[in-house]
Amino acid sequence: MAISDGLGQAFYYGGYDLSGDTGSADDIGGGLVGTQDITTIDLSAFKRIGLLRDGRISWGAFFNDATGRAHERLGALPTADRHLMWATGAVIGDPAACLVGKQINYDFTRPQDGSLTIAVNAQGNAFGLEWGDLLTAGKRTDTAATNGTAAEFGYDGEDFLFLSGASGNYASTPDAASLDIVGDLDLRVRVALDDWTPAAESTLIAKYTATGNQRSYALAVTATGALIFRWSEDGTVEKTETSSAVNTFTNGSTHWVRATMDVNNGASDAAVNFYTSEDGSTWTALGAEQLNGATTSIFASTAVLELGSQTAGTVNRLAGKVFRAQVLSGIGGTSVAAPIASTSSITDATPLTWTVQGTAYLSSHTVHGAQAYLQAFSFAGTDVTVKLQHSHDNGSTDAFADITGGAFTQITSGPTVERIAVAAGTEIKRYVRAVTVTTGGFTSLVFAVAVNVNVTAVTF
Amino acid sequence: MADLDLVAYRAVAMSHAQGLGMFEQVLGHEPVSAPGSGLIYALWVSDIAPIPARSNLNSVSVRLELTGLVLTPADGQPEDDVDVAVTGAVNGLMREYCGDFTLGGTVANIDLLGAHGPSLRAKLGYARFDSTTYRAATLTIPLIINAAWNEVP
Repeated sequence: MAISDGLGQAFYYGGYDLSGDTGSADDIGGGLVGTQDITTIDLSAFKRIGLLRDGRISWGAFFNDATGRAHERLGALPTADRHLMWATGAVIGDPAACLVGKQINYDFTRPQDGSLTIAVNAQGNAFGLEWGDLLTAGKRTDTAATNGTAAEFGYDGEDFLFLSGASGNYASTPDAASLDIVGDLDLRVRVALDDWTPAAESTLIAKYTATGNQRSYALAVTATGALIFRWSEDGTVEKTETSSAVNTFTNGSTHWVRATMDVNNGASDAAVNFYTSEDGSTWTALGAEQLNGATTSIFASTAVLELGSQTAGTVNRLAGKVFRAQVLSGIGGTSVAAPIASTSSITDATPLTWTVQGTAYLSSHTVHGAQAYLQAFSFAGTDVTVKLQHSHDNGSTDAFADITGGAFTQITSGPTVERIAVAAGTEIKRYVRAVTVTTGGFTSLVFAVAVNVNVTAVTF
Repeated sequence: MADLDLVAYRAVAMSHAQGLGMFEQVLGHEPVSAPGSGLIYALWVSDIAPIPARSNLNSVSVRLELTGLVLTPADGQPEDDVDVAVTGAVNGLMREYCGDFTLGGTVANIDLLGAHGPSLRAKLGYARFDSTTYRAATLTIPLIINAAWNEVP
């Protein structure tokens, strides 16, 4: 995207396209109408909380008394809510300002130069102004049930490596001298397991390959929900310590987990500690310290460092999302690997080069739901339902599926409009599309949909 | 989209002039040589530009300016009647254009009052063709065409 101007826009009002009768937008605004000062005497700067949300669209209309045009729709001075959608373009993904509001005027101006313009204002009701993204290229005409093209949403900071649990799906970086840590070690992973008590042990991060006996270290979640740290002193003999407590995480939720290995705790022993965290900086112990019974060391193997499995994507595979990970040499020591999933690759500033293997892929999502607006301009047929579907990778390996709560009410006549809210807590994947389905058949639906995916929690 | 259709606009604009019954000739081009005697009316395009205040969200409305030229030899007798004839022709033309400001529905309107630039107007002066001096009235006839061209990125 680049800086663009206001040409080629569109304005939809209550299921009517008034673009051709609209000359200007004087104010498309919203947000907080005010704040309340809650500064206490022990503060050195103002502290405020936001009050109500609001929205408004003010625009300049031309006089057009044809059926379905500006005068007929606006001159009626409706008192019921009207749905307004101001599209900044006609390409899927173009932003659109959406408002449910009251039209409060329709004011003629006829100056002495003979021109004729009309000022119209709408004030928000209940929701304020929301900026969504178009899921239709301007107005879309479907003549049968259609899937449509998806819009890609970049959810900043929430990119992840998606692992299905299938063999060969993982991400790896080649063996490197810096990864051959033979002493104290600190492994950290931010991850969302589909099942936090998985059917089989699920590896989070590992430099651990059975092939050729190249075992160094690995961190995994056991079937009971405990963390397990695996290592080998010689590459062949496996040693493990398992956390004495199990996680209580909700399946699919995202958390940091961590294991530290102190190869010599000063008491002729080696200690493994397990932790969890919500922010990656404040760590809560998961169970008690586990002692090996003797000091130890870690084998410097030739194995790759991999996310989501061991032995090159074949053993103890993880099903879920890996957001980032860290390998530290020394407990809280030097970072030697720091993969972070991003839009199109796994970045690692240490630096290491990571490769996504198999059909694993990078995606992003939010878990804060969405709001969607529908403007249906005309309909012919028995019925049609417009609904939202999403996919992690545009349907390549993750098939499009309905978004829970993401269906508009069945349409049996037009024009019609609707706003729906997908509940907060609902996952919205990276690619979202608007599809039409029918039970009784239809011959034509002309409509536009914009969706506002929440990247943070939103309350109305 | 309306597009620009000069043939249609000019045909109506010239027809109004011919209907006045005043002109010896009505030309659809700017004369490059002495056009003859009597009252002559010539019409041509002098300016085309989009109108910001008239364009809508996704298409451009256009101001197409026609220039009309009323000519008659300045040495006609009696000389006092030269201005009367030219002013009368201008009056007739403006009356016709005001009386049919959509040019028979071919344009949105003629910008009679200057909503989008110079209004309908006539400027009188002299023009010289070959060795003949003509009394000349130059008319500005601004045509407004709605939604002539689509805006597409």
